[in-house]
Amino acid sequence: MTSPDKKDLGVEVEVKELEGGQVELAVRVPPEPVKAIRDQVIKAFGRQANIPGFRKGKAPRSVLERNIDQGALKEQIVETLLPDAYDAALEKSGLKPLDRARIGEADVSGEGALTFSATVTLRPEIELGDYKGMKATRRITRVTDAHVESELERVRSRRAEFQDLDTEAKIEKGDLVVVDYDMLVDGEKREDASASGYPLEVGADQLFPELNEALLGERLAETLDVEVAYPDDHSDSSLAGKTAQFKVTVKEVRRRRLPELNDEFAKQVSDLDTMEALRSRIHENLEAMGRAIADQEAREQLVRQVSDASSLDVPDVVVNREVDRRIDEITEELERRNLTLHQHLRNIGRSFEDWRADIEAEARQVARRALVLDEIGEREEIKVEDEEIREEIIHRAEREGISEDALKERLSDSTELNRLVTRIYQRKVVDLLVENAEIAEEVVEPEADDETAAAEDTPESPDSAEQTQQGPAQ
Amino acid sequence: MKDPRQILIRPLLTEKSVALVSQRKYVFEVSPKANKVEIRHAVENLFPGARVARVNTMLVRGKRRRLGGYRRRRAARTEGQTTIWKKAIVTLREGTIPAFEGL
Repeated sequence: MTSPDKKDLGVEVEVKELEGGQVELAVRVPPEPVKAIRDQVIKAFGRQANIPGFRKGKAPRSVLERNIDQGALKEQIVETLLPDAYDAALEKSGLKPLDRARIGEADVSGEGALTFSATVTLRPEIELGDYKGMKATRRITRVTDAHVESELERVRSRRAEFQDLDTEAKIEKGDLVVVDYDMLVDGEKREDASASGYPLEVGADQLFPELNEALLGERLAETLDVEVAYPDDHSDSSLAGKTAQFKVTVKEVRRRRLPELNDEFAKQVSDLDTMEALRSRIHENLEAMGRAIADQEAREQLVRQVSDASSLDVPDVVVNREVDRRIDEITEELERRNLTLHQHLRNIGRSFEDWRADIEAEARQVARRALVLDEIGEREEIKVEDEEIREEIIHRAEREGISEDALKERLSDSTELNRLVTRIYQRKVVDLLVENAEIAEEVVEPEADDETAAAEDTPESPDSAEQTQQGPAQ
Repeated sequence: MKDPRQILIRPLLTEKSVALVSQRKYVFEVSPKANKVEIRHAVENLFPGARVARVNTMLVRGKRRRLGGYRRRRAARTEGQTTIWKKAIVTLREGTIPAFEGL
């Protein structure tokens, strides 16, 4: 018997178009290759089957045929043959699906042919807009002394030390305080809402805003009463609309001591010797960060432009898959914070439909861009090399502070790996867009009030230095 | 003549019997009451084209099987026997027997 070509299998394919960019393939594999697989399956069965009168693996073919469960045999044949047959069918029909196929009824018919149907979503027809010679602007916010100082303050407060205060000192805003409290509602003590050793930062506590005020000017070991009025719609119905008394005892007070900004400080937080050097280092870092953000924005602009300039129908299947993925992610994130999605929605005061519509719009945008980038990549024959995957893994392991092997272990899950490859691929496509674009650079003055300015809608300042620069973004 | 199906109970398919097919010997379980002549006629009748050269028969003695174990030593510790049956090795001069085909 001639062994059938593994790639072809002589499949016959009929393509039927469905709605929403989907297509149903009716595939028929002729009896010959099916029979070859059947022989394989029976042989495999014979090697491990226990049949009375025969030692394992010694039973002859015809005895096996009589002993094998026909249903299981069929199933096994389908399972073995289907992936190859599906690939062959795609090859033959020249289709490029976006998702994994849903396989319908698969059956081995009387004459021994295997038939099945597969439903897949096709990549939509994409009419690409011009993706070469686009224009984008890199808006770099000028780094001012104020930026440097506020960054310096951040470093400083991270280096703060805390000192225990004695009973003399009055509590000030920013002190760390530990209190015990009892809660009294209608004159009765509520054990479940009383606590000892509750830590808070005066002026910044979320749970008891009332405490922030009340503690100011108090001292260690003092006891004070605080009243908290609960709104009528408070989530705990036993408290709603009531006023509770809290007896608060101050157990510990610690004051934040900020280190002085001198050369000593510079030596501690960096490998630099003077404040001056530290300031200019911070200045440099902020500038580099600003450039990176500006680069990212310029890339975004290009992607948005080409996506907007292209016309295509994003298949709903792809959008929905993206939506589901996002909702899953969000739900997981919420669970980590011990919230259900339901609670979260109530907290932000939105209906599920409303909320989902937002996510869907976003997902559609993402899917659309991904499809457009794919199409460009295909046209420009962009490939991701193994070497690049390796580099990315090393890079990412470093960034996440885990070992390469640990990361590889996680990537052994094929969807994770796919995601990584997709990311590299898209990055390369956008690199290509950048290479072929005109990118202007513009220095934007920060807004006086807003320390972190640099949002994309920063108004053009009249005296912004402007220089055009071409070449790949970093 | 007796119905051939009451004489030939089933073909015996084991590794050993399959190995004998190459010597044109086919093994059956037969009725313990059947004799060699009856077996010859039954085979020739049931499998058209088969011509029997020789029939050898034997009684397969059942094996003793003890029931009940250590714990039931005192009470009825019984002994039984597996079934006694008759085996026939039929040597053909011509023809084949379908049940042994394709082995």
